Amino acid sequence: MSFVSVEFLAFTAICTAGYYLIPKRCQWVWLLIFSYIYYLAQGPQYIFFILFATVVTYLGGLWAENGSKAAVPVTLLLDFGMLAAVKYTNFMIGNLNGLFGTEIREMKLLLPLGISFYTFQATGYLLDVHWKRIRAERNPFRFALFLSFFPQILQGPIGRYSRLADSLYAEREFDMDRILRGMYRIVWGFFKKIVIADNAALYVNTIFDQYATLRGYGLLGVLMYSAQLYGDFSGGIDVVCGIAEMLGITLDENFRQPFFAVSITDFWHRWHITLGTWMKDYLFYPISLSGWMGRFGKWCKKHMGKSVGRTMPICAANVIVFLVVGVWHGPAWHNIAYGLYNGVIIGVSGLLAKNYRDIRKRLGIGKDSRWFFIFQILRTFALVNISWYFDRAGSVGQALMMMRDSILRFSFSINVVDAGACWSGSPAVTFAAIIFGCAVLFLHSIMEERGTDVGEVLRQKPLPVRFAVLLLLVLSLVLIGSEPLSQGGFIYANF
Amino acid sequence: MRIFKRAAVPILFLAILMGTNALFNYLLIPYTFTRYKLHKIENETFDDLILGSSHGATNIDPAYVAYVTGRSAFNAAQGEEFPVDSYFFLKDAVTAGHAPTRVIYEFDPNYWITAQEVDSTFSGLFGEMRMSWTKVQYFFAKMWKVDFRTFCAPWYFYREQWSLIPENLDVKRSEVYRDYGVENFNTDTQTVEYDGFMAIHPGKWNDSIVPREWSEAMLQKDARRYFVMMAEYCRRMKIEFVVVTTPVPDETLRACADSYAAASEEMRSLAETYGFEYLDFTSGELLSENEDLTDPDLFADWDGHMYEETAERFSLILAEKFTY
Amino acid sequence: MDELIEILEDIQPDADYETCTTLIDDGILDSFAILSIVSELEDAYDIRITPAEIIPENFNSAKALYEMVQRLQG
Repeated sequence: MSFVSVEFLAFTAICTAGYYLIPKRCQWVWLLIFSYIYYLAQGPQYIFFILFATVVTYLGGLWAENGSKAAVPVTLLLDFGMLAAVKYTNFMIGNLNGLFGTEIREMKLLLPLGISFYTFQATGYLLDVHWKRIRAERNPFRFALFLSFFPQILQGPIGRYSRLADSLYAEREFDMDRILRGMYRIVWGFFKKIVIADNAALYVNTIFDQYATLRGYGLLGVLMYSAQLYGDFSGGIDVVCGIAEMLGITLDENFRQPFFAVSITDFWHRWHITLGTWMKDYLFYPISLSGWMGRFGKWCKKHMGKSVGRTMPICAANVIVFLVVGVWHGPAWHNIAYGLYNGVIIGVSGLLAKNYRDIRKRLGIGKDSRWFFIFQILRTFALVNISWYFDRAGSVGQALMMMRDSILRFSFSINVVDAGACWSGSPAVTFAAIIFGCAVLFLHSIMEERGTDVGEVLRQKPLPVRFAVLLLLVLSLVLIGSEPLSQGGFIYANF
Repeated sequence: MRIFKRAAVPILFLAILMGTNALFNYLLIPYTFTRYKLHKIENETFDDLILGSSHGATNIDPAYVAYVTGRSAFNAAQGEEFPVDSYFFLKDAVTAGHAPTRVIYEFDPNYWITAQEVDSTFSGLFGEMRMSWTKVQYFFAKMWKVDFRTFCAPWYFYREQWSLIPENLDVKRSEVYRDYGVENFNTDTQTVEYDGFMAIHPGKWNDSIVPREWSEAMLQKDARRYFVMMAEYCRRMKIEFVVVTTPVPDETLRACADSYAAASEEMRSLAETYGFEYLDFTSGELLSENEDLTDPDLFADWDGHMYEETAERFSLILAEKFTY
Repeated sequence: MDELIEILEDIQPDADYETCTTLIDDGILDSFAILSIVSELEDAYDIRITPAEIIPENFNSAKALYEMVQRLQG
C-alpha cells in the first residue's frame, strides 16, 4: 500500500475516524487491527515474519527479565538470523553459484515489509529489558502493536519502547489541533516526496543508470541524489509522523536539518537519527565496552600513548558500526565502501580532534567565527555528497569512475533527462520545479534550524495567509509534482 | 457544539480547496468522446453494444451492422479501453436501465499483454461515468491503488495545457457540449459519428511494426479476470456475448504470427469454457475466407486500424456472421 | 571529584563541569567523549562500566558521573 495511493489515504482516514469514535480503552486494539490489516495488504505470506519476530522477542523479553543468561543471545540470534536470511540468502546463493558453478535456485521472496525496522525495534527492546532500563511487556498483544504500528513499520523511525509504548496504549480524546498539525505535516511530506524527490529521481536515474555514456554529469547526478534521498526519506517520515500525530502519538524525529551539519559525526546526529542512536546504543557502546575491545585499548595505550590509545578502540568500534550500516544498505561492495567511508572519516576526525583544536587556535579562528561555520557546513556537504556516489552507484568502480569524470570531464545540462518523461515534455520545467522545491525546503530548514516551529508560525498568521500557503502547497503537488506511478515507492521502504 | 466551531476553519479550507480543484477541472479537462459515449449508453437502449479498443472504434461501423441485422447498434469502444473499462461500461448501461440484447466485444490481444497506463484516458474513462453504485465498484477496481492525484485531481493530466483554456471554455459553453454533440471530435484524419463509429480518412499513419510477444508471463491477470466477469455478467443478464478479433494487415500477421496464434488459442479456450461465440479474423476459416481484407493498403497503420471504407466492408461481412 | 573534573577537562575542554547538568542533553559530550571518559574512569578507579550504564542520567553532570563511579566501586 503506497503512501501516495488512494487506498492508503482512505485507510488512514478510516483508521483515524474510528479511533476517536470507539470506546477509549479499545483504541490500542483498533491500532493493532489496522496495523495488521496494513501488513496483510502487502501479501499474506509476509505475516509469518513479523509474527515470528513478535513471538520470539516477546518470550525472549520475559525470559531475559527472569535473569536468564541465554535469553539475550538466543533471541538476538533468532531475530537477526531471520533478517539476515531474507536479506542476504539470495546474495549468498548468487556468490556460491558464481564461485562453484552450482545452480542453486534463488528464493522468490520479496523483502518482507519493514523487516529491518521491526527487527531493530525488537532487539532494542530486548537489550533494554536486559539492561533493566524497562520492564518486559506482559501483554503479547500490546507488544505486537509496539512492533507493528502501521505508519512507522514501513521506513521507521525506529521507536524505543520506553518512549513509544505508553504513547501507543494511552487513551486519547479527539483533538482538532493535533489532527490539523498531522495533516499539515502529511502535506509537507508529500511536497518533499512528490515535488522534490520524484522529480529529482528523473535526473538521478538517468545519470547513474547511463553513467557510461553520460559521462561527466556525476556532480549534477549526485546533487540531485541529495535532493531525492532527503526529500524521499524525510518526506516519508513526515507522512509517518503526521499520521501518528493525528492519532495523538508522538514519534521520535528522524531528521534535523542534516545538510546544516558541521561534521560527518554531526551529520549522523541529524540524518536517520533513530538508526544512528540505535546503532550507538545497541552496537557501538557494547562493542566499545566489550572485554576484547578493552584489551585492545590497553595494548594501544601501551604502544601509542595515552590519548591515541584511548581513542583507537573507539575508532575501531566506529568503523565496525559503519560497516554494519553499509552492509545493512545491501550486501554489495559499494555499500560497504559507503559505510567504511563514513566510519573512517569519523574515526580519523576523532583521532585528530585535538590537532584540529590546536590548528584552529594557531590560525586564530574563534569558536564563533561565522565564516568557519559556513566552511564547515560546505565541507560536510561535500563529504556527504562524495559518500552518495558510493551509495547510489551500482559498484565501487562506477562510483570512482563517476567521481573522476565529475572533475575531469565536468558537464552540466538540465537537458540530460528524457524530455518525454518530464512535465509538458520540458526538462526546464522539471528542473525549475526541483529548484523551487529545494528553495522552499531550504527556507523551511533555516527557520527550523533557528528554532522556529514553522507550523506554529504559520498558525499565528491571519487566516487568508494560512489558507494561501496551504493551498499552494497542495496545488503544487498536482501542478509541478512528478508523473504519477512513474517512480515507484519510497526508497527506504526497501530495507 | 464546540467541536463544530473548531471544525469550521478546516471545513472552510476544504471547501476552498475543492472549489479550486473543480475550477481547474473545468478549465483544463477538454470535451472528449468518452463523455459522449458514456452519455449515450447511459441514456439510450441499443440492441447491439460494441465494446473494446480503438480497433473496435475504427473497424466496426454500427450503421452497417444495423443495416444487415435490422437492429440498433452503438459503438462504445475506444482507444485505451481495457477489459475492466468495457466491463463497467456494460454494467453502467445495464444498471441505467439500458441493457443491450447483444454485446460485441472487440478483442485486441495487445491490450491483454500490456499494463494499463495511468494517463488522461485512464482517468477520463472513470471520470465521465455518471454517479452510481456501479461507479463505486468501478472506483475500487480502478482508482483504489493509484496515486491519489489521479483520482482527486484529474486536471493533473492536462496541467501543461494552459493555452487550451480559452478553447475549452468556448466548447464547454457551446450547444455542442450541452447537447452531447460529436462535431468537436472531427480532425483532418478522423470523423466521429453519432453512433460512436470513428471513421479514418485516407492517409498513412507514420509508424512501423512493433512485434509484441503473447505469453503466459506477459498476460495481464486483470485483463482476463474482467473479461471473464463480463462474459459471466452477460450470461446472468441473458445478454448475448460475441467476441471479435478484427483483421490485421498480412505483413503484421506474418511478423507476429506466433503471438496472434497464441492469443487466438487463449480466446478460443475461453469461448469454450464460457460458451460464447468467437469470430477470429486473424486465423482459421474467417481469415482464409477474407484474405482480401488483409491488404496493407486497406489500413491506416500496421496495427490494423482500417480506413472508413474498409471498415464498412468489414462490418457488412461481420454482421452476416451474427446469427440474427 | 577534582580528579574526575581534571579527566573531563582533558578530554573535552570547552565545558563548565562544575555547574553543567545537561552534558548529554545539550550534546556537549558526544559518543566519542563518553567512551573516552569511560576508558579513563575505568583506569583511574579500577572499575568496569557496562553498556547498561551508558544512559544520560549517569553522564549529564560531573556529580552524576562521580556517583556512578562510587556505586561501581562499592
